[in-house]
Amino acid sequence: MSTLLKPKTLAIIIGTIALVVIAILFFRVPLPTILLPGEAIPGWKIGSFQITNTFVATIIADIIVLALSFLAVRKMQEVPESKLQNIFEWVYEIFEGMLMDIGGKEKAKAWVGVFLTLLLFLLFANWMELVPGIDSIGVIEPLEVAYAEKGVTVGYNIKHIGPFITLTSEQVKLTDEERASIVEEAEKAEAAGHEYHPENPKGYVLTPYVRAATTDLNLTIGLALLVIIWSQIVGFRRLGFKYIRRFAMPHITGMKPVDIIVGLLEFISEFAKIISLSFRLFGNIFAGQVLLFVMAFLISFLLPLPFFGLELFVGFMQAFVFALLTFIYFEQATHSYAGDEHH
Amino acid sequence: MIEILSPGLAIGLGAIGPGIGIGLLVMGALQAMGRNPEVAGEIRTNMILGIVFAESIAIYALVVALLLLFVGAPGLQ
Repeated sequence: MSTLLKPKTLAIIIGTIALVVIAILFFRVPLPTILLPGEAIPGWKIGSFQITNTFVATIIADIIVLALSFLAVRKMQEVPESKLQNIFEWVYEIFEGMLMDIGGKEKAKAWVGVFLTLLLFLLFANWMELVPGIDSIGVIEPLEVAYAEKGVTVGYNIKHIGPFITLTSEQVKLTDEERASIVEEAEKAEAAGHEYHPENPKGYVLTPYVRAATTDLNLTIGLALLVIIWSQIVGFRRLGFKYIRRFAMPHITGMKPVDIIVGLLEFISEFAKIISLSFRLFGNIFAGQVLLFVMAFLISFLLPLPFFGLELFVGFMQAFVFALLTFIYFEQATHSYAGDEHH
Repeated sequence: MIEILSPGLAIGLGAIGPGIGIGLLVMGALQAMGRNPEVAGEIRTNMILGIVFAESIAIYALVVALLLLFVGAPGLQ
């Protein structure tokens, strides 16, 4: 109690409370438009290929991982002087040791590269949601256009600050009649062959240039498909044609009818793996991003801070889990069920 | 009203089971770690794997909730 009453501590507490109150009263943050698919950035097109903001984030994450790895191995030394090489060796050794505990020395050495590539890429892709400026700098377009193209119904007013335009926290909602008329006008504009531009936009919507890559299902399903198909290839390469026995009557119980059903279940679970692998990563990061949005929307000062810490942990955990499950699926694919080796 | 209620119910009810499951799992793992601190690393890896598999049940509920929220069920509109 006595430490609480020191003038310095008291000043900090009162100052914090005052800042929270000021944040609630004057610094309201608009709630970003929450959309499931990656948002197309207006005007960013290469030929007929529309660039989405999650695509931009994927490229950035790729570049970061490639650049870091390249810098780390540029001047390889037996006793490394560069800090980056030291860090990379340390990380490599930790995870190689961990994989050895799970799958044995030979398999750990074979797939630690895949494991670390996935881990590093997903780590940077996940953590991108925490960087300021991402999700908040982008193209501002009229709410009517956004409704016609993406079905967004809530927009914001805008304000000019010097050369920049920013959204204010005043929400604008489209009524049912307005929605119907927008659809009509957009169809008319399309029939006439020009783009739809409303004369007096009711509100505006922001499409960010960059949005964390793993908040787009396309990336996570793509990665999960890659991993599962790759694990089938690994199985065929290690076991040859005997790998098919994993799905067709594996030798597990010795009772043929039971084994047939087990094989069928194993086959179905390959597809369930794609769903659970992709949606786990996507769900966690997408939910985390929405959580950060909502917390900043409620009180823009102090309140989001613990959630940033939480998301830092979740981002690492999900990247780690994805990479670990990849390793385990590879490892499982090399078990023989032909009934001549283990039983 | 039902459009707002149904995704909430889907994720809310779907998260009960995995929540209890993850709690039990971590309880068991922590007790094991307390009794055998020398194998704590191995237990921790397996605990994380177990949590991941329990969590994937909640992920299925999340998928349903997201589908209801953003795509909508055919009968609801």
